[in-house]
Amino acid sequence: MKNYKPKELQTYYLIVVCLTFLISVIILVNEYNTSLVTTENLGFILYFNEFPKEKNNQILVNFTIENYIEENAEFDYYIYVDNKILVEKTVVLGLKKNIFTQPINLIEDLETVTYFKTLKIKVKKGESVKEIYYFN
Amino acid sequence: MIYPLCYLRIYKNSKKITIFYLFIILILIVGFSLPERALEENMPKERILNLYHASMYLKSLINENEVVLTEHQNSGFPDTWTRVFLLGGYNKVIERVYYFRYNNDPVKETWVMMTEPNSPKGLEYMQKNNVTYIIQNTQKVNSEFLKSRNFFKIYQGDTITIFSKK
Repeated sequence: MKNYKPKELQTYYLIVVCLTFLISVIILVNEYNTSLVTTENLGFILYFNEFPKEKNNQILVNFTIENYIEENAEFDYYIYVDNKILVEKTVVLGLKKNIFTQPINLIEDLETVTYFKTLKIKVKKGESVKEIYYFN
Repeated sequence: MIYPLCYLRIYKNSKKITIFYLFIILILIVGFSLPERALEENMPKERILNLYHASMYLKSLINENEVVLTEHQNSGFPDTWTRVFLLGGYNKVIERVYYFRYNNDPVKETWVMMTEPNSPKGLEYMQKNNVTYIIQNTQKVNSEFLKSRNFFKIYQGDTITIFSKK
């Protein structure tokens, strides 16, 4: 067996320690990543991309439904303006981000005023209901 | 393990190297056990994911001088991580913590803002602290926020709901 000199032994140990440390870091990072990419329990998320704005008697409603339930899941969404349902739709959504841009014509759809006070978006998927709203 | 340690006997600084070697082993054992405790199989990971998602959403909206108020008590999620995700400094996120923590604090601002958001004091403190967004647990949202025209709900997931101050 080769007799190592103290200096060589020190180098040998440092290499072993560094390699062990590096391998363990790689394993840990990999374990964290695989744990965190599981998004099946996130359900669905609803949010405004930008707040509704009124321009030329029209409101542009820009929102997102992020679907983490299943591919091609069916969702119902409703848009209320001043507590009146103006949009009622059933949509089939793919996984992750689904962006919606829904124009609402105040005079035609609301039939009364050119100004809105509240706007609410409600999304239903089975028994799960999410809603967001905005006050003008 | 024993085989390489035999070599240490011939080395004059063997004690130092042994201590160093054992220290590294200890770090590795502790390091390997941490993710097992932090990410257990039955742990609700969706809370962490939802927090990360909500924080990223806020990051796309929030301005430099705006502040986030979070609910730490009864939050059900590790809300303090919002600071890390927003990368806006420690004071970017203020939180309503457990009541006993306010014992020596003469101004319980975060407590008032979260419990009585529509009161004159609550609104005053929000303006003073530039609080623009409020994070709460979806299952335990304070109804004061829901029935008020001072706040609108801009984000809702299973775990987290975000309000924006008008």
